[in-house]
Amino acid sequence: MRLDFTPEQEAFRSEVRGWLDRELDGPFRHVRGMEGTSEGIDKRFAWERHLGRSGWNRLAWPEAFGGRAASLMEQVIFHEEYARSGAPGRLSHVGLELVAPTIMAYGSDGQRARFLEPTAMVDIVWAQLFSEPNAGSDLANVQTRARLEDRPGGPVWVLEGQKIWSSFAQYSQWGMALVRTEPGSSGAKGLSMLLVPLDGKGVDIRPIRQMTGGSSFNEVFLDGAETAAENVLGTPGEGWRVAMATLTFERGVSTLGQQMSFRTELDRVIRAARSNGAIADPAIAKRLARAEAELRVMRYTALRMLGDTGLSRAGLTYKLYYTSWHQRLGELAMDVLGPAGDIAEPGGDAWRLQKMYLESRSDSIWAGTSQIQRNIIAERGLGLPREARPPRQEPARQEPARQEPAKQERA
Amino acid sequence: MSFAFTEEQAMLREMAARFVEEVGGSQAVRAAAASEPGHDPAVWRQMVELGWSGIIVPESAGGLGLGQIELSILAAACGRALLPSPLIATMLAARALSIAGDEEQCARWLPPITRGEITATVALTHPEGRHLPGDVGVRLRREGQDCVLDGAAGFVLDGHVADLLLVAARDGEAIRFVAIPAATEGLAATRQNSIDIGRAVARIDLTAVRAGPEAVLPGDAFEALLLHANATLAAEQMGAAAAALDRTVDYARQRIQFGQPIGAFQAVKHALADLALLVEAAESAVWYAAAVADQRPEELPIAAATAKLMASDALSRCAADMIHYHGGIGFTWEHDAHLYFRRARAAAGLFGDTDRQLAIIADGMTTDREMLRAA
Ligand SMILES: Cc1cc2nc3c(=O)[nH]c(=O)nc-3n(C[C@H](O)[C@H](O)[C@H](O)COP(=O)(O)OP(=O)(O)OC[C@H]3O[C@@H](n4cnc5c(N)ncnc54)[C@H](O)[C@@H]3O)c2cc1C
Repeated sequence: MRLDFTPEQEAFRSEVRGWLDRELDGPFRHVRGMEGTSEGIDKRFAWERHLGRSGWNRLAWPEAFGGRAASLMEQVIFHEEYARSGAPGRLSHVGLELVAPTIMAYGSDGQRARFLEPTAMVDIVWAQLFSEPNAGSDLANVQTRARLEDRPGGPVWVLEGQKIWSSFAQYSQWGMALVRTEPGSSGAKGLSMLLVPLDGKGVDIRPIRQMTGGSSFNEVFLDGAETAAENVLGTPGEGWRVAMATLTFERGVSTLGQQMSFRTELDRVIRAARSNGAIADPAIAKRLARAEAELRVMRYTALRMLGDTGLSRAGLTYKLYYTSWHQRLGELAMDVLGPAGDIAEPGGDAWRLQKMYLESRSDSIWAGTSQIQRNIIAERGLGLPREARPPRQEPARQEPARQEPAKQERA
Repeated sequence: MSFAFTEEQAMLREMAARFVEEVGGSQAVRAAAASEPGHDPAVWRQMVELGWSGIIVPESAGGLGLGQIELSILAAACGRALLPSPLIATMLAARALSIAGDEEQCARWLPPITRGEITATVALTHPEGRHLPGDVGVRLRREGQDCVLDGAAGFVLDGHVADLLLVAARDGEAIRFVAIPAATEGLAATRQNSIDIGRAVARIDLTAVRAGPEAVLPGDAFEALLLHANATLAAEQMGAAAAALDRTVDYARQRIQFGQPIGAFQAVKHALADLALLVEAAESAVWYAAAVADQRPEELPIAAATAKLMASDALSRCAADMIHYHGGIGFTWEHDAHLYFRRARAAAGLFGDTDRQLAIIADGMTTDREMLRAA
């Protein structure tokens, strides 16, 4: 157990820090500190393309895909420095952290050649089209269908159905869609993962207004949308396995560096408590101290996870730990502000804290709700038995009993 | 930067786990704790043979010369079974000597400690049990060359059987440790009737106890020792919490009600998942604090306080839920759950309670840059 970074890691940190400060003090001054999911979208995409051209988006990628093959520790250092610098929240997260690794793992050579480079350059922005109105936690209940049809230019998949809660679909050119390609199948069987262009016909993307007032997620109606037959990721019918891989990436390294944005938020709360005197209230001071201690622990856990291969129990607990912490921080922020926090005018610290308070309510829902996380921790981490479940409702004209699929919950 | 154990540390962990499994059965632990010394001297002799009594003692004094990480490994292993021994008390005394003792004091006391010829402890808690900054219950006054100690300390680990006591005494502005052999006139040690029946603690009364100048440790170790004490205790608590969780999980897999294991019910499995979160958090904090103690002592205040806070949380919740999810059997004297529950309560208060730890953390709340360095 060693606490010190190696000289190489320190040098890497300086390189990242130097670059970020230079860009964010210079040409990209205007994006510094932009947060949330609606502020300065165009400028932020320009910034993300700049990151791509400068090589940072492919830090972790193997050299074969033009990446820098950075170690886990270097990736964490990058994410930490990124958050520390006040660089804006990422919008191309889905493509870089979810779709690209899935394509590397399951894509054909042709798909890799076609999609990886433009994804890294943020010339393709991706949406994750998994959830449906009736397939949330129970993701295997996906009902959107796709069938192969012949066209003059060759066979295509034709999609019918509806996706929902698709983050940033309104800015995306492509989607990674989990769809049912085996008619009459149910559950995890008969699904395929299709790469679908979102700017063609038969695709209708409607932003959903969120409780925060902004719109980051969308309804995506697929009504005869088409994608070439070759745009299936993995083999047809293998969609569930591919989706599980994607969901594993969803709580990978990219989440480890975010403690530094939590740091920024906690510091904002502490600052508010100092400036309005709330810190003199022993109950508030104790909650702040606890938040501080838990944030440190989050970091230690992240570092501990880096020593592990696969998903250790610490890894399984991570999402629930940080999202619960973040929701408590939101509540603490509002208690620190008092009634003044309820009437904050746009722009200042109080307003940002109020936004964080509202935004944080989604933390226990996305990427597997807190109940699903607890199931995963208990079943995979502690080895507790699975809950008994009623057999899945079979679609019409089906063979009688069917085996429950191995794993249905959204990870 | 690496959070992985070295090969040697991993081996020590395994060996300690095996040893504790062998000697730390429920009956043996209960009998040992209830006996007059509060531990089984035969088990302690085996620990001495394994080198544990010299784990942090420098090699020059015959010890293994290892660090807090290794001591925490041992404390965590013992914590799992609540195995009582004078290990923590003796190692805290050795730590006090190493930090604050001069060459002669170290040469006099560390070798017999390492060889297991004597056990030792530290008396640093106010008789009321509180740990306000600089608050000790023993005063030191000078009489010529000698010094004279008056007052009392409480919650002294294994204080009624230790051969050597390092007593924290107020000396004007400073707090000094004074090395007092147990047989010294004017010193009385009485085992206290603790809620934690698994750990012997004693009250020490000093009435005009006279000591020569060679007994006073010249260095300043009081605050540092409290931090080491909390880092070590947190490891023990974390081990106990992990065991309480494991045993509850085992039970939840076996106990059938309504035709299925109770661990299949979400109300139960989600509660156990929440405990896993606390145990993992405590682990992270405990190993980090141990590494900090060895490598970055200047950061130990927050790291040790965080470890103690997290480990107290984890053990308190795990022990309470251990009782609950065992149902009626968890409320019996024969079941071990109450031993963990009792330990949870007493350990959380030892060397500074949760409020005290939060106050230390609040004092040190830092900016992002400092935190980065702290990684
Ligand atoms: C901000 C945000 C962004 C998102 N972005 C995307 C995206 O980009 N792409 C995408 O595909 N999806 C996205 N989602 C969707 C997200 O994955 C789902 O909302 C989530 O999986 C929950 O599904 P649901 O909304 O249908 O709720 P439900 O599954 O209906 O859950 C409702 C409640 O029931 C509980 N519940 C459900 N099943 C169980 C069970 N077995 N045991 C106990 N309790 C249970 C849940 O915990 C929850 O509290 C996003 C969601 C949010 C909030």
